[in-house]
Amino acid sequence: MKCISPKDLAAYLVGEVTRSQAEDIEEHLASCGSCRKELEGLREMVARIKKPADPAEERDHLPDIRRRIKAGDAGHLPGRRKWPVVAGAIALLAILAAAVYLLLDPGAAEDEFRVKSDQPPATQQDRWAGIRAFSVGAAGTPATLEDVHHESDSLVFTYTNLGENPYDFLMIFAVDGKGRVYWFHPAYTRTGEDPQSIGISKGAERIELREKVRHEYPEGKLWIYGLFTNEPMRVSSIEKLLETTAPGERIPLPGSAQHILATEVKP
Amino acid sequence: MPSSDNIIDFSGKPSASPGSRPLQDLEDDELMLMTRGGVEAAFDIIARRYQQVLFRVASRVLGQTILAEDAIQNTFLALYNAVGSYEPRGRFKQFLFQILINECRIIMRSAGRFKKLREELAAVVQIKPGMPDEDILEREKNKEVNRALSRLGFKLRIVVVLRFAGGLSYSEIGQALKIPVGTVKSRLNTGIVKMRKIVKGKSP
Repeated sequence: MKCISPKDLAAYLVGEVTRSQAEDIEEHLASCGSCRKELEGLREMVARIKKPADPAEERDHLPDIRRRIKAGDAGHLPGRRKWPVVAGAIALLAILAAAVYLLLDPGAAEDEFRVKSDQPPATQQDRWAGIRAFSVGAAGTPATLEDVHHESDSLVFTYTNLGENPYDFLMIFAVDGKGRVYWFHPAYTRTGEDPQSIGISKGAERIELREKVRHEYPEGKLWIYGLFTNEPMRVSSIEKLLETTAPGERIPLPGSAQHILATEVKP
Repeated sequence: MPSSDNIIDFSGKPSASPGSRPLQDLEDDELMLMTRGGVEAAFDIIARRYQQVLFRVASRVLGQTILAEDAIQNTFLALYNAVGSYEPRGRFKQFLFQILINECRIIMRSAGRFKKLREELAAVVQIKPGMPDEDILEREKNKEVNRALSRLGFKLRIVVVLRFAGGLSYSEIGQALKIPVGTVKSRLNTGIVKMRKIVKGKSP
């Protein structure tokens, strides 16, 4: 029998051969010192990857992690995302049981899923992933965001993530006519922080993101983006892409689904 | 739809109420939910449970301790920020490694750092005065493995490292990388064969 190919030897090493293949390989190994040596070399190489590169460098990172969590947001409560101070204008974060109201929302008919988008779905993927925005006024009852968003109102969102290839991560943010960005999910509170997309449920329909958020926007056009991706994205990388994207236009991000809602901010 | 915020739902596990067991004994998903509920110590348990394996993976992927430390700290910060939206579906490990892989990619994309990384990998093994021969040999061999890994390309390298340094199953790797199990197996095989060639000096 001729010597075992490196590919077959590697497959044997990780147990990815049939019983009869394994028997053939073992029979050959019994009589071939060169293949035995080769297998030993592979075993040693794999064993080395399993071991720490330098055990002396393995240390407890928790104190550093805790310090960074504290430095980033001293008053942060896990599970409650944070909101950016845009020119000192962040107004209100109220975590309420908006869900109760969303359940009663008369505008939440299934077939209205894309009614607010000012663009048709750009890709097949876009058809299955989207967001809905609800504005919450003084009365506290959410209503589907209309063409006009009153600046004193807050916003809450739901998302839908269906289709054959649903997504894993979502970002929701708004861009005004001058290209200024307002973050909803993830929250973005401090300069220098760079949070990433939030994880979302697959195959899910109208899942609420419970936090109710109010920013102060200038009067005029406002576009709200729901950006679905399979990789978590950084706030900084999206802001960079937005620098070269006209407000309301699709961001040049291959593999993403984007749902863009248009509204107008009025007093 | 849920009707109130931050409900910690342990339904289906009535006999395993987290309150009745020490935190160390809780599953990852339970610890994430407890963190969401404000039990900070639950997050500490997660960090201590996974920091070493993440460090091993990151240091093999990035080739440098200092970069690996950045990667794992960023990973845990991102995890902490994701606590509120985390879905407990028994796939915590895949979720965590997905974050780590992304952090490693971000670090590698930084051109300057990547150059530095390649230089580091090509550098002579650091030998301290009085270091025993076995340690010197050990470092030489480690450098050899890191050099071979660095030449694999990210796609093959990440599979090899997740399997051997991370101890992930084929299906866990597939889920973390969003590739089929068959692709995981073939990349692992190709990765091992290429590494061996490099280690033996048959490939540049």
